[in-house]
Amino acid sequence: MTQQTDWRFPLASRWVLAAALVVLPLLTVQSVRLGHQVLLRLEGLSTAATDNMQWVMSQAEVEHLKLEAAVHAVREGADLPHLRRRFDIYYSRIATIVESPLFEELRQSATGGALLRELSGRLDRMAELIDVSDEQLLQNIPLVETELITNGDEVRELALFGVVIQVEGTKAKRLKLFSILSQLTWVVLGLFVVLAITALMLARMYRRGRLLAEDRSRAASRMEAMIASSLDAILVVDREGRILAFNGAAEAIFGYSSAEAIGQKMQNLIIPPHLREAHDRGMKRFLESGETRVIGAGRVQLEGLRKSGEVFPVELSLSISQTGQDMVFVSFLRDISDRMAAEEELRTARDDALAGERAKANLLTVMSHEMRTPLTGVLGAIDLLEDTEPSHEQARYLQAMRVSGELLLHHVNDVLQLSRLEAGVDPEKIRVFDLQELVEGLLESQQAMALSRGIDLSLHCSLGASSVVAGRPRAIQQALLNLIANALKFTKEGAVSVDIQRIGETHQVEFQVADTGPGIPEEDQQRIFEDFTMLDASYRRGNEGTGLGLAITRRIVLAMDGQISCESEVGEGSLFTMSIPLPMATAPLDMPDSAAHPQSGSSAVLIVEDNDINRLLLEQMLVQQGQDVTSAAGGLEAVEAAEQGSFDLILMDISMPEVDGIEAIRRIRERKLAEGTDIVALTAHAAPEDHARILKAGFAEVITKPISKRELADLIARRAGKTPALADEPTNENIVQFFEALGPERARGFLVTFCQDVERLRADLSTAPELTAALRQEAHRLAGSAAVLGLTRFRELMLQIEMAEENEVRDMELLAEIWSEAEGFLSLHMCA
Amino acid sequence: MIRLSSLLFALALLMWPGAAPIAQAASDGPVLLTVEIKGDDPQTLAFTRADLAALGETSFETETIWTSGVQTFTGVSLQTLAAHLGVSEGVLEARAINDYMVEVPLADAVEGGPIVAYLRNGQEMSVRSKGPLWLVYPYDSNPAYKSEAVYSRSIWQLERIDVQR
Repeated sequence: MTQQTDWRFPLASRWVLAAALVVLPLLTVQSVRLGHQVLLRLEGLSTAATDNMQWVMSQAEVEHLKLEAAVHAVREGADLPHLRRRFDIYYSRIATIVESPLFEELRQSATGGALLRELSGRLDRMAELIDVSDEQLLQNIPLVETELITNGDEVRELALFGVVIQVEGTKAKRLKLFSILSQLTWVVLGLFVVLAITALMLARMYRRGRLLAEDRSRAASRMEAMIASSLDAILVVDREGRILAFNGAAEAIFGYSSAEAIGQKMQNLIIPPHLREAHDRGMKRFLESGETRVIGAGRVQLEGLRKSGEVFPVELSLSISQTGQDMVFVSFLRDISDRMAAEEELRTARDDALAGERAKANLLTVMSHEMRTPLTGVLGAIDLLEDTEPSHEQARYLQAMRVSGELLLHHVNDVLQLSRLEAGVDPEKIRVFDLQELVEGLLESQQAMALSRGIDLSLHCSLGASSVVAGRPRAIQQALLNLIANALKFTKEGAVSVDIQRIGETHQVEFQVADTGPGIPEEDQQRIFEDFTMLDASYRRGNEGTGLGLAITRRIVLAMDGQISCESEVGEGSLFTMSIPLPMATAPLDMPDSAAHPQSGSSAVLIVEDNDINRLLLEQMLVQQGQDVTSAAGGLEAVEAAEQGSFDLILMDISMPEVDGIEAIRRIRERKLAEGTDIVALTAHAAPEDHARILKAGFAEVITKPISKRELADLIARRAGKTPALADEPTNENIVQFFEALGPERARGFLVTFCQDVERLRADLSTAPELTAALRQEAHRLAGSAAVLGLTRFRELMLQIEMAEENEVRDMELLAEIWSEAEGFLSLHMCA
Repeated sequence: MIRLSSLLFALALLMWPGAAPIAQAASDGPVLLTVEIKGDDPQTLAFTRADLAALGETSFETETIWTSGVQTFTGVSLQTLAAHLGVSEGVLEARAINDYMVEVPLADAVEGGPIVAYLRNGQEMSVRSKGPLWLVYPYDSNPAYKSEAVYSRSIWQLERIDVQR
């Protein structure tokens, strides 16, 4: 930002300055003290009265002389008072010398002391001579004169001695003064040096200060320019919340001029009223504890208030600038109204689009549901009508109705399954199953279709040590079926081969379905997995469909954590590859349901269904299976029926008028009417949340309508503990599927051809001397057909013939026996 | 300087008798102090001890550089005396028996300042003991009085004051 100049002085300089500042006052005090002493001494020297002592001493001499003169001048009595006065004055001088502390030194000295004692003694003697009557004094004058003869010398001597002492004292004083003066000189010199240093330092500081000030002012003007040209509002606020700086962008954003804003409380100016309390709390918290939330937290979204009173979104970045005790908050604020508006618009657009998507999907799902129930009724009615021995023409019409109805149901189921997969529901549990068995069964079921189209459908399994795996058999079945059905659908002639192999020792199993069909153009190879995709009409080849097949397959595969891909070349064929994790398993296989319920016999079943057609249909199906059926048309009747009779199983519709299935089961369980009896829900609702709700109400399980005969039989076996009579004919399912797949008309035609082919083979076998390749091939072909029709024994026999030695004895009797059995079974379907 | 002063004083003494009328002391007793006021209205005043005492007696204790031990001085304060004389500025010329003369600034005549003492330790002062009057300062109570200048003004054996009014 700016070039940071170190504003501090070098450490040494600072120490010198500090020391100078400490020494300076000491020196000053010392110099003042010494100066004062010098003044005192000088004053003492300048005063003439300093020689007071000398004066006193000399006065003593003067008074001695005056006294002497007075004594000599005495002629008569009148002169005596003058003498006495002079003596008194002389006396007072000597007394002073004796008494005054000034003369202590003199008195203590040997010479001075001796002299003074001499003088005092004489003074006393003279006082005795003088303090007498005038007559006596006149007589004493010669004596006084005698005393005074030596007195003069001694007084003089004393005075001289005093001078000596005085001179010595003066000399001591002079020396003392000299010493003080020399001390003073040093002190003043020191003072001068220190002052000089201080002055130098101050000069340096001044120069430095000026440089710093220039730097500062440059930095400040740069800063000023930056702040002024900022597109974000910049506010500087003190700890009381008063605005210190308010840049141009802030003026534009908030609508206040800088002059209006500066000095104002920020919270009153630009914080919306509903945020002020929070702001004050935050500020207080920070000032008390230093805890920060917004400060230094980067960009924070808040709301600001314009002068116009408009509250608008702002992005705020707040930081603290602290210099000593002076702390300010620097806020960068950006008006993000436009951005927020744009974001909101985008969000709304997206939400609208999603809502539209959902609504479409919901509509599709609901419509499909709604279609399925009446469709079940229609198909059921067709079933029943076909049993009423219709005329040939009627049978054709019924057939047309059935085909159309079944196709429609197929489409509806596709859509429902797609929405189920879309919702991420995968109700199927991981199970242990034999993959090879499953795939073989699947291929067998498709052999009829392949056969009818003249397509060779083959399977190659390479699953390694064990074909038993853990996975979702139904999902795999469906995905693989979709691929095989598609391949068969689009292949005019040639072959469809299914390859299944485990990739090395991994969990991955690869399923490949290859056909010799028309192929898919490169650009369409991804699109085919999308919903409702049907390729160009030329590839449709009159195949009806929703275009959901591959989309569903893809979803199923993805739900199993698998992958699906497609390779194709136009004119050559297509190869679909699924790779699905299917770890090998050692756990026991699930036993077939029928094996678990070996019992057989009639069960008492209560059907509760408000739809007359569906109820009739269910009744019919159960009666055909030999069950003892009771019907109820609503919840109330169901409760009554449960009260009156006892049942092995109750099948109950959920949505019924007045008392619905949930309420009915609640009443039945509350009154303990069907203790130990399972109640199974029948519903058209496939949504998982509905299932959860239903199971919670106490239903043993939920069956989604429509229910097939086989499912019904399984359900009875599972829930009523009885195996229905239908289970006696295990191969029936195959031929039913065959009829379903081809439609009765074509199926019957196929059966007739099949019977003729078998008769021809029998004739050829009985006449041919040995087993020719053509015969073997025919046996192989018929074995495949037999598998499709569920003729297990016949198929095995055909396979034996295919593999037999050329000259092996043919057991024609066994063939006749097995064939007659198969023919009897087939005739049941051929004449229908 | 001092000697010159003494000479002038001697001359003044010679001229003195005709200079001004000599006032009689207000009470009987020996005259201790003679004050000559010079100026437009020359006047000579004489004070006995009783006259001085009548102006207002005051006393203090102090040590001096001429005596040993604490002394009690009693007399009239210079302030009172100056007021009585009606002088407030200039200097007094104080003279002693032995012709010693010193100039005392009237600025010294303050409350708590010097007194013209006539008693020392309750005793009248003989000439032998620096009497009969002594201008003493309370040296102990004010350090400023412990100076050579003040010592020189502390005139003893005082007998006369000349002052210009």
